[in-house]
Amino acid sequence: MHRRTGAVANAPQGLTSRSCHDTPPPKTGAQFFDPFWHPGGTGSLMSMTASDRMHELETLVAAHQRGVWRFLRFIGASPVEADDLTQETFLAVWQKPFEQRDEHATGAYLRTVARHRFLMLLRSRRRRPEVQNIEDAENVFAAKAGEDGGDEHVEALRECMQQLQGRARSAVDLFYGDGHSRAETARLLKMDEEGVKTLLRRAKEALRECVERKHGRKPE
Amino acid sequence: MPDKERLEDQLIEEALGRNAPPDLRSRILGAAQGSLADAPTPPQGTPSARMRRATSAVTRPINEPKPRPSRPVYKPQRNWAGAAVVAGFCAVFAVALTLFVVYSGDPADVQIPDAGPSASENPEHPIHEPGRRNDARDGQAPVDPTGTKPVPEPPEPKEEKAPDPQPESRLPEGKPESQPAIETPETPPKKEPVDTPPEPESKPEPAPEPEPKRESVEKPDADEPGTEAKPDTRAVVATFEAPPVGQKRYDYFTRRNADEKWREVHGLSGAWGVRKTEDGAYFEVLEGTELKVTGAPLTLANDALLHAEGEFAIKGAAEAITIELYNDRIYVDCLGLLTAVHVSRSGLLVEVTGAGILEAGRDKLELFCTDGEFKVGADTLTAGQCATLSDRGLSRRRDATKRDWSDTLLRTLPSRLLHGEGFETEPAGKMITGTREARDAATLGADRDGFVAAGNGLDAGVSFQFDGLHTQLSGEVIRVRYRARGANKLIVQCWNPDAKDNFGIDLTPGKAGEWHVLEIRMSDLRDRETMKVGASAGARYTSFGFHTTGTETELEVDWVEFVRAPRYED
Repeated sequence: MHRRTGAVANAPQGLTSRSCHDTPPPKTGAQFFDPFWHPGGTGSLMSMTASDRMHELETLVAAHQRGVWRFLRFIGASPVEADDLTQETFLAVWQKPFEQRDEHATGAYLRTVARHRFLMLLRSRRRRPEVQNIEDAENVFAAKAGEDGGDEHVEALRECMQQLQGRARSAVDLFYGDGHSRAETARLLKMDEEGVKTLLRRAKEALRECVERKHGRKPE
Repeated sequence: MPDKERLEDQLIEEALGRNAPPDLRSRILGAAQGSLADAPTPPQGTPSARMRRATSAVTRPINEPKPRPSRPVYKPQRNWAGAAVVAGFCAVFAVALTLFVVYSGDPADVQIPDAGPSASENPEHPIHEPGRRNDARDGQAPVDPTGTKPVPEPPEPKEEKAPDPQPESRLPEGKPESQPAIETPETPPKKEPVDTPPEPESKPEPAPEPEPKRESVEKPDADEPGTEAKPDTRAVVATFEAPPVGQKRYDYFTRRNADEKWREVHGLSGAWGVRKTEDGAYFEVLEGTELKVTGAPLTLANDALLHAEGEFAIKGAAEAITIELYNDRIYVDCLGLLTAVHVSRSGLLVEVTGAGILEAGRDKLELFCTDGEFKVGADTLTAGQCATLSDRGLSRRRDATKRDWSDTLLRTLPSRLLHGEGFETEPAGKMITGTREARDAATLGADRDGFVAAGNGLDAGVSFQFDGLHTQLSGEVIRVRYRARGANKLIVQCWNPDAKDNFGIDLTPGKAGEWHVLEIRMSDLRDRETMKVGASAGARYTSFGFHTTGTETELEVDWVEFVRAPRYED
């Protein structure tokens, strides 16, 4: 088996692996979130053909899978559990269609299903939830992440991150990006731990204000 | 930390590429499609039970005794009666066997009630062999003494805990790792001296239903030191490149058994079935290891490419590798290799001698053969075909559509390395023209020093012989990293002994003195005689040459690769 140790070659055109994680959420079709839509009507999932249903599910998944996954992570699911539970959530919806009034309501419904699935998982494993009150957490998530489950917020954060400079940016990169502890970050930046704590707090405030500005809201 | 702040932290991590949601679309839609295919036809007309009752009088054989009219067909009493008979029979059988065991054994063993040592000295009961992990874990002997099948449970499980210490005292020390860790220290000191019954082997009757106690096996947070000490002699069945430390997201997970959580392979010891090579550049996967891979490649021991988005185990050895697919899907490419790769799922088996996608459904496999063949028994799926494999064989065979060919998996596949020369050592065939020369990392533009094949002067070139014959595969691409000065033209060519001609192409050199990576599809090569005959899959070559034209030229070749690029459509 040949193994190269030198420089990595450029991949042939069209062969470079592409990450789907960063793709913006596709816009959902207006007819899918039709406020007059109701089960049993012409647009009902029940009455659709299999391919139509699959298409609708595809749209639903594309719009909400990241938000559901984020929510599951937020309430304490591990990445692997979040993967599985996200899938289960959409399959549950697939098997038992529901009325979709708007994106906000759809997101809330999916989070409710996801939360129930997560609690069932915890029960089956006799684990306690790490989050004190999951209902409160869900409210916090809904308020912060918005209708799109946080896509817009993350995008805004990415843009705001470009404005962070110097040690603040380094601290954020090391602590949040690379997952170093605060002590480790302090050591790498040759600062004391309290200094890093303050730096991170200020960086977060700056990011928060920047994101709020982008959303057109007054910073809290 | 308040929820709001925690959420902010999570979103910042995601914005920086850590803790980002994966793309689960294909996985969810795949699962949904599986459920659609398996969905029962919606019920129509009269319920089946009523129909059965209505027709039974007509279809019953004449000589069969008529059932009592008062008893409906689906009354449960009938089952209870049968169950009672079976239970009674089993109880009698169990008692008879118990008596047999007690009176046929060594009287010394039977008479000593609290003899822990004697119990351990006794020959192990078949059900307590280490391999029988579940039985041993429950430790309550719900099995008949012949070890053939569980005894149906008697009416009520007894609440006494006597059976717990009893089998434990007979268990060998090396009991399975999934034995609940919490229970082992607790039970022996309390119960063993007191509760051990006078006849240690005469109590098969307490048979509470075996409830797997999963919570204790879900916390294998650290490698057990005992397991690390043993050298693992299992064969290496696959390798994959170790991602750089600090990478935002890892793609490879493993677990030791189905009860455990998946864990990132990084930082795990060999006891988990994966280990790093000495240079730290690769991970080796040992035979039988269960893996979960989220869209990343592995090279199997027979040099096949496995790109996985799912959970599976790799079994066998290089000459007979079987991938047991648990969930989701994989792409396997072993086109042109001497040995096939087998993929199994719920008793279904596919022999892959080409390349394609295999996706696990409920008790079935969705197949898409992109190159070569998939063999299922005597049936064959050829390139460009899709089908469903179930226990009834291949069905729903069809030609692949544009949608199949534009599958995200195909479009994001890495290319499979068929042959590579890095010139760190002399080529296995031999060097024909050019010489190996050392270069430092700065000159190479790489992270470490290395060697190049170099030539200079009139029409400088580098060429080497393959170690045997190199057979062209469909989708094959030649990649060369080179630097040239003073060249008017570049020529890439391979000698085809069957056609007795070189197959090559002329190219314009890039900017002089700079490193370039050249990529040429082998199908673009033409015979040098007429320049009309193209190189096609199946053609064989003995040597590769990379030449310049010019009076005073310099050429350095860092490496040459022959790779197979998967076919797909945008």
